[in-house]
Formats: sequence, C-alpha cells, structure tokens
Amino acid sequence: MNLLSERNRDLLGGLALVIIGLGAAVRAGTTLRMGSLGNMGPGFFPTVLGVALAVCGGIILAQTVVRRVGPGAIARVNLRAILCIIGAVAVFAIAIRPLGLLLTAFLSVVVAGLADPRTKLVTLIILGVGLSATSWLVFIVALGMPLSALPF
Amino acid sequence: MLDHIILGFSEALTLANLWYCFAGVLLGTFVGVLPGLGALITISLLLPFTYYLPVDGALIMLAGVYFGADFGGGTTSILIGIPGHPAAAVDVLDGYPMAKKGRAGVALFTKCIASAWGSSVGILLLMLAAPALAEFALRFGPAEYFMLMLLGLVAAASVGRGSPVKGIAMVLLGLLLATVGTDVNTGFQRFTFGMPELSNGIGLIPIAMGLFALTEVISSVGKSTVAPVSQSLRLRDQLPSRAEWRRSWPAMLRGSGLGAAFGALPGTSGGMATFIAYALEKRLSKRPEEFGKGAIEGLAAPEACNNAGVGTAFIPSLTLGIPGDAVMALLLAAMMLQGIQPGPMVMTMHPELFWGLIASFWIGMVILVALNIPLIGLWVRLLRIPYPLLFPSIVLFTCIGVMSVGNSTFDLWLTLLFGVAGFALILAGFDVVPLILGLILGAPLEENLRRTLLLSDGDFSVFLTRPIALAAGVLALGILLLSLLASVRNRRRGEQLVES
Repeated sequence: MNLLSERNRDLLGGLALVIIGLGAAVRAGTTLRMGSLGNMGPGFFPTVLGVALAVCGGIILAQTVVRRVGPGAIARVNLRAILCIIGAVAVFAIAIRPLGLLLTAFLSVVVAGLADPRTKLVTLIILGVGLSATSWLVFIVALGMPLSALPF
Repeated sequence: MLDHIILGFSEALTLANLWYCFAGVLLGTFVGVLPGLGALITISLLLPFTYYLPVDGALIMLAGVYFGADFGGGTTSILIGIPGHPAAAVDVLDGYPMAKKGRAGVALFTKCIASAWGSSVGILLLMLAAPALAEFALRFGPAEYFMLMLLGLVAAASVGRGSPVKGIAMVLLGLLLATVGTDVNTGFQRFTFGMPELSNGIGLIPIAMGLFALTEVISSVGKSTVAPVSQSLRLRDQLPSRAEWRRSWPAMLRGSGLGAAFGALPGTSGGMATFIAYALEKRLSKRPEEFGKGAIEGLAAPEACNNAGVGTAFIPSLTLGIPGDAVMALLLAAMMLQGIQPGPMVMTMHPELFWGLIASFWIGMVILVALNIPLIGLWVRLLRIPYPLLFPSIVLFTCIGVMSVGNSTFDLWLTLLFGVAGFALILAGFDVVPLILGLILGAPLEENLRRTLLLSDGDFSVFLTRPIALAAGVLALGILLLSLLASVRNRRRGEQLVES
C-alpha cells in the first residue's frame, strides 16, 4: 500500500494544517472580540495565526500538485508499537486512581513492553516488578509525591 | 568580573549543588551513551521533577545533562557507528573507522579533549558576552523584543530539517497552542471548549513529554542493540601519537570558533554546524582522501564545534529569554515553572543563579573529563543494555512525571494525544522542535506585539524607526528568503534527477 508516498503525506499534512488553521481562525474570529490594531482584543492574534497556518498548509498542498516526486513509500508504520505505547499510557491514566501506583506501574510496563515482539513475557514481568518497586521508592517514599501506592 | 566568579563558585560549590551537578553530568553521560536516549528526551522526563528541587539545583542538573549527553554521545558514535545523541552523528564518519582500525582509544581521547576545549571556549564567551548583552537588553522595549523573538522563530523554522514552509507551519502551530487558555489581558477564555482543565492553558510538560518522550519511543521500538568494537581502553592506549596530535589541535581551534559563532544563533541545533566544521576540515586538509576512513581532524573539529556551541547557545537564552533550540526552551521552561521570568532581569535580580550556573559548567566539565577518560571502560559496558528493557521504563517515567505536576489524569490524556500527534507529524515530514519554540515564545510574542501597537496607537512604522527592531526584522526576512530560495533550488535539482 502506497499510503505514505511523499505526495500523499504532504497532501494529508497540508490538508490537516488548512483545517486546523481555518478552524482556529473561524472559532477565534466569531467567538472572541477582535479589537483594533491599536487595542487588540483576545481574538486578534489567534485569528491571524490561524489564517497564516492555513496559508502554509495551502502552500504545502499546492506543492504536491506542482512538484513531480517519486512514488516510493517513505516510512513503515509499526502498528503494534503505536498501539502498545498508547495502551500503556491509557492503562496508567485509567488505573492510577483506583489501583494506586504499584499495580498501575506494573501493568503499564508490561503493556508497553509488548510493543517489541522479541521480549519474553517473563522478562517483562520481572522488569515490571522491578520498576514498580523502584518508582514507589523514588517517587512516593523519597520525593513524597501525592500518589497512593495501593488500591483504596 | 572577579567578584561574580567568586559569587558563582561559592554558589556552585555548596554540597547540594555539587551533587546536582554531578548527578546531571552522570545522567547526561549515561543517556548520551545509550543509543535512542538523548538530552532532549531526558530533560523532558526530568522537567516535572525539578518542581521538587530548588531552582539553582534544578538548572544546574538540567544543564549538566545537556553537557553530559554531548560528551557521551560521541562514545557511541565511535564504538558502534550509531550516534548516541543526534548532535554526535558526524562523529560516526571518522570516529567509527578509527575504531575499526584499532585506534578506538585514541578516538575517544581526542573526542573528549576536543569536547573539553570546545566547551571551555563556549563558556568563556558566555561569561564575556552575556553580562554586556543583558545590560544592553535592559533598554529594549516591546518592539525590539517582538522582532528579536520573531527572528529567533524564523531562524529556527528555516534552518531546521525539512522545508522552511513546514518549519514556519510548526512555529505557527506552537504559537496557536500557546493561545489556549485565559487571555491575560482581558480574561477571555480562548479555545478552552468549556473545559475547565484548559483555562490555565495547555501545560508545557504534557506537550514536551508527548512530543519528545512518547514520539521517540513509538518511532524507535524494534531497534536492536549492536555490539561495540571491543578494544583495550587503558589510559596508555588512549594517548594520541605526536603526528595525530599535530593534526588534531588546529582542527579543534577552527571547530570551536565555528561552533561558538553558530551556537549563539537560534535554530542551529541538531548538529548542522558540526557538518559545516567537517566540510571545512575536509576542504582545508592536505589529505582529503583520508576523510571517512579515519581522519582524526574529521573527529576533532566537529566535536570542538558542537561543544563550543553548547556554551554560546546559553547566551540568547539567559540574556534575552529567547531559546535557540528545544533543550534551551525546556531549560527556560524549568525557570518559568519555578516562577522566574527569563530575560535580561535574571542576571541583575538573580546573579547567584546565573554565575552559579556558569561555575557549575566548569565544575561539570572537570567531572566529565574524569568520567570519560579513566572510566571509559564502564560506559562501554552500558552499550550492551538492550533497548527493549529501556523503553517501558521511559513510558512509565513519562506517566509518573506528568502526574507529578498537576496530579491530573487529564494531563496524561493530553500527553497521549501529543505523543500520537508528534508521531504523525514526523511521518508527514515535519520537525517538532520549531513547535516547542513557538509554544514557549507564544505568550511573550503576543504580549509584546499588543504592547507595541498600543503604545504606537496601531501604527506599524515603530518597527521601522527603531534601529534594533528594524535590523532584527530585516535579518529575519533575509533568512526566510534565503532558505526559501535554497529549498526551491534543491527541489529543481531533485526534479532533474527524477527526469533523467
């Protein structure tokens, strides 16, 4: 699949910038007071930035039409890595309040570690226990961070 | 000057600050040596925990990490041919061939001496230039500040990786992100979408942790560890021969001069200057054919250049509050987290902070030389730590770090969002460094623009009648036009290649 040829990535990137820029400009321009040059309101700066961002996106889009570039794919997306890393942070965010640091750290390390298929589960469990204990010692015992260690 | 130096050392030589300095350079060398970890990701990870430290200790430690990573990064380039740190990429060209020829010890020693020499030049220039510049900057009004910040942003956007249009887009995105939250002048909510968590703005920490730590982990999972070149690295094996020494010292001199000049300019991080230093040596050399096969000048000049730049990069950051690269932006963020507004007032209001930081650079350098020459064998062993064990730790420390700042899971979700967004941006060929600079400078840029135009009653000609503002503006425009021209020309050449 050639989704990420140089042309397609610039099409997507440029389009995203145009949408973000125009969205910001419209939102700021319609909901916030613009003021005048001598006395700017809160909407002035964001509107200008949004328009400028959309212009940059437009230039990048225009370049994909004008330029002739090779069709070659430029990057391989490691879906497993993305999902595992996202999963690890999500697990941490969901679990930290009900479960406390010790369990959450363990779970999060194991999920993150699954990103690399070569790592054995036993290794990950040992790493998880080790890091969970270390982070409890460093962050709760030594630094006194306001996190609970155990489920409550 | 002398009393400032005494003040600095009396500050840096307290037991606590010595410890922070030592911890910083040790950690910096550690992460510099490990491939896949560098100063940027480490300083992002440490940033939240600096809340728990005094401000001088925090800055001394973070700066130590920066220096240490630059020293350590070259070790990895020389021994396994993969840069341990982005700025050390050029060391691979001649350092690795030297190691393969059995001169690993000499290469490591030369790298270390060149780094120490370069750092000394950079720090010395910082000591000489910063006080004068800060005093001069006290007279700057909002128009000057606005134009200087614009210059910094344009330079960072145009000189970085990728096309200048993409760099400018990233700066604008950073500036736009900085407007989220309550407008300081009017109290209006901007882009908060009714979420109370956003009324104080998007914290720098979720963005930095997401864009640097998570993005880096996502894109480097799956890397394997490479065994280092194994050679005896006793002190006797490290001393260069007389011929090697004669070839390397003039290269160090030239490299450090080049690096010092480039370091003070914004946007030249990531080792661009080191490649220029390398090219210069190759052109001046009587034996250009040896370059790439283990020419000692090709290692000495870029290393001296890189470290001289580290010193002078502090000049605009500490005197004007305008960071030149992402690491400087994070250091300024650490100051802001502690309630110190970066700018020329820092030196007069907190002289002990500024001079203490400088004294700690000297102390840190002595520690670094001690760590890198006699103890080099220890660091080589670190190269065998497998990356699959490293990255789950980075993810965990990212999560804990983000939680430690506001104790809010909302920040964690933001971090996740920016991690994914950063990965998408890198896939799409954007560089995230200009975004961080835009984010840091967003609020002061808007504030200075509003103040300038309020004073001039909406008249833009103030930017033309004030000489420093005008000069900065012309320079910014020049850099922008030159880089656009260069990118168009490169593209033409690329198209011709495609056609032929």
